[in-house]
Amino acid sequence: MAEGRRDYFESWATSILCDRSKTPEQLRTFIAVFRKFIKPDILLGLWIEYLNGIEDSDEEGCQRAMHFLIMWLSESFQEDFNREERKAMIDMIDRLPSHHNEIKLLYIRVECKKRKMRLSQSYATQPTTLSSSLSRSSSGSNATGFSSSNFQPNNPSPSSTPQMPTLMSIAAKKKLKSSSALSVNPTPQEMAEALTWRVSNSFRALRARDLLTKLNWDKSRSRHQPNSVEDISSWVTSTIVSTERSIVKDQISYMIRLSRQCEILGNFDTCLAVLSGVNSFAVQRLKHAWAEIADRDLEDYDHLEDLMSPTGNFKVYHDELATRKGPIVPYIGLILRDFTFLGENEALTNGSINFELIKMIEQRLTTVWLQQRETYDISPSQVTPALSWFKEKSGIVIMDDEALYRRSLECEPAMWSAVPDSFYGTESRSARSSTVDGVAPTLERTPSRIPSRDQLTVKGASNDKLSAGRKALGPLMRRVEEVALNFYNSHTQIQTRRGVIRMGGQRVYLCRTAGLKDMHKRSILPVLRTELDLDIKLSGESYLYKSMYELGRGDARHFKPSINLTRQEFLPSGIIFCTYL
Amino acid sequence: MEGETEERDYKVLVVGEGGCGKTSYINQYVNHIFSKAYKATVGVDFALKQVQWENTRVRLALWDIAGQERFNHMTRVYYKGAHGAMVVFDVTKDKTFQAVPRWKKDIDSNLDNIPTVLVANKCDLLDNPLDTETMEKFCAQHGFIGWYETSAKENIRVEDCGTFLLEHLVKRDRELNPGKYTNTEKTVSLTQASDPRLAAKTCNNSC
Repeated sequence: MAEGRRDYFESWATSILCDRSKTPEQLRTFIAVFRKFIKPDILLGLWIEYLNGIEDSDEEGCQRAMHFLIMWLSESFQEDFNREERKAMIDMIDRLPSHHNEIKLLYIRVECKKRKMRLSQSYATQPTTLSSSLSRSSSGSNATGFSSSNFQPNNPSPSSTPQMPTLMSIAAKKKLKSSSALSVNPTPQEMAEALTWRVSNSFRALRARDLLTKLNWDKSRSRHQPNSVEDISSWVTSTIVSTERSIVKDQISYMIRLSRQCEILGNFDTCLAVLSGVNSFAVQRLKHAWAEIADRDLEDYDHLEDLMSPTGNFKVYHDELATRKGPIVPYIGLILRDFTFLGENEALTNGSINFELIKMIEQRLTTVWLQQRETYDISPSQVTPALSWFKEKSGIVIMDDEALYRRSLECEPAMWSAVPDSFYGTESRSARSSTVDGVAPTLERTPSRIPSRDQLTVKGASNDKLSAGRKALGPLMRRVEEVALNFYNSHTQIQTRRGVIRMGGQRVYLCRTAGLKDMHKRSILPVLRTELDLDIKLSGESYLYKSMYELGRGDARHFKPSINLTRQEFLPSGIIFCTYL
Repeated sequence: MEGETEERDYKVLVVGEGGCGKTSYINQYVNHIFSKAYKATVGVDFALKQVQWENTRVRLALWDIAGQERFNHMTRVYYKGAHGAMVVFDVTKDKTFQAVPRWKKDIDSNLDNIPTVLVANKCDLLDNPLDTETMEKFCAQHGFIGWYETSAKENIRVEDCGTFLLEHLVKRDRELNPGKYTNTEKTVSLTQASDPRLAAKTCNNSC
């Protein structure tokens, strides 16, 4: 460690130790970041120097020193010092003058608390292996057996520490365990509570140091495992595409409700995980199923999509987060993202510590600490059935993207050709047709063939309205067009011009609902008003999307006979509910 | 469209393993600054780069999944509507290269064949350049439109790589929307029967 670096660091450390105006958050931040500038043993040396400098009569100074040490030890004693060093420290504390007896007492208190915490935490994260975690924590109970966890010395309110398992609850749980699986599947609400309980424990165990690894300031291995969060997405997608074709729609509804319940609980992490599972390509392309989702669920889905939209750096979500009361679990990925961005900045500017950056780190850490404080009032025994149901995946095999896509194709074959019949409504449950894309024709509702070019000659051009010099569409709208355009260009002789397709002299505006959802209301409103002559007022996105969806669906139904050329007189206009390819 | 300036917006994803320099790369490309002031970096959803391409004013929105690499299913929220992508890896860390196919697959299974360029970042830390033949083969195998050895730190080929991708974005855009660049016909739209009630009504009649 360069001497120069030590100098300016020392003045910082001294101010942290001596300055009474420093907040607990500043202290904790210091403890979280100091390794960037100095090694733990050097900091300890500084601390001892400081302690020796305190007058016996200076009780407050003494208190401060103790407070600091305990905070530090509880955050990362085990990691900052190896066994020998820890032993040496205990000896050192033992040798302290008698007026430091309080430190010894506090030290013992920390240790006891730690053990307690560890016990309850391992209980929390591993509900099914309580006995093993009990034996583990008792075997590690030598004098140096500190385990670091999210112990919060400046916030020792009872609500912030997980409850100790009582004998009663253990007994109750064992009973449940023995009676094993649920007889019925958990409701979305039960499932949401179970997943929330799990992810909340994991979030509350997240330490400042785990976050600082994102800045490359902390070389310790991040103990945070997002895998548990990640596998929710895979589970959602796999569950949906693995089920009987006839109940795929029910599974989608279930997952939307699950996501919504998580949101209601303030568990945004799982809310997004479930939502992204629903948003995977393998599920999104199941248009038959989506067409049958109840409006209520679609409204919820739209709401969740808006809430978790990345637009404006998740602005809607951040606003929502700020107004929430009670326990929450934020989307952890975004916290890590912020720390990654902070890591782009130099820790040292002009040879001194970049305190502006430290301040920003402190702000972000403080937010996390605050969010970690409140616990859910959910008892482990309450969630065990749903969790074990989840763990056993209810027989669901987690698949990779390719397998998911294959399964998805089995649910609904590829190509637009497969879509019209069941998608557009109730008609034509006619005989099974030949295979599509080499997939066995197991569809209950058999797709009609792709309308050939010859079939797609449409007569009667009566209701055109030309309008030149349109403003360019937004990128999302264009993307929607691209998809539609690909289809039309490859299968028909329809020419396209800026989202308006031309069919036999008729003009049709193409869009699809998912595409509309992508669009911000401000960008879609002018399009709707001017291009489609719709009188839509800015009265909430859900209303807008709802009406767009209805509009699309209505027109899709309407368009269907035209594609089949059964009725030509009603050739559509307006928005066509166009499908994915 | 002579004399007229077209405006185009493209959304470009920047993905790859953590610590391979995605954010630095974007900062360099957009601002020509290796390490940017934090005030602007925290809480920004994407970085905007404006480029003039022939008679088109292009705005590239670069979306960074920074910090969320291990949440790769969740990062799909960023994928929606992307026109192109960059998969970044760190030439000094083999692990980040090993992960490239996984990122490419993730893009391919969620987006429709968008032009994707492979970015071999931190080449300033490398003594010898990467083997061209191996890399070309790798790109062909995994469907990259090309690859660039770059250094965000030293600003090596960062701009070239961006231009290369942009060229493909424009090309693809023109293929998909042949009308847009040789726009001789007037745009048309229809205003009738777009009322949902009417649509529903006609449906009832025809069903």
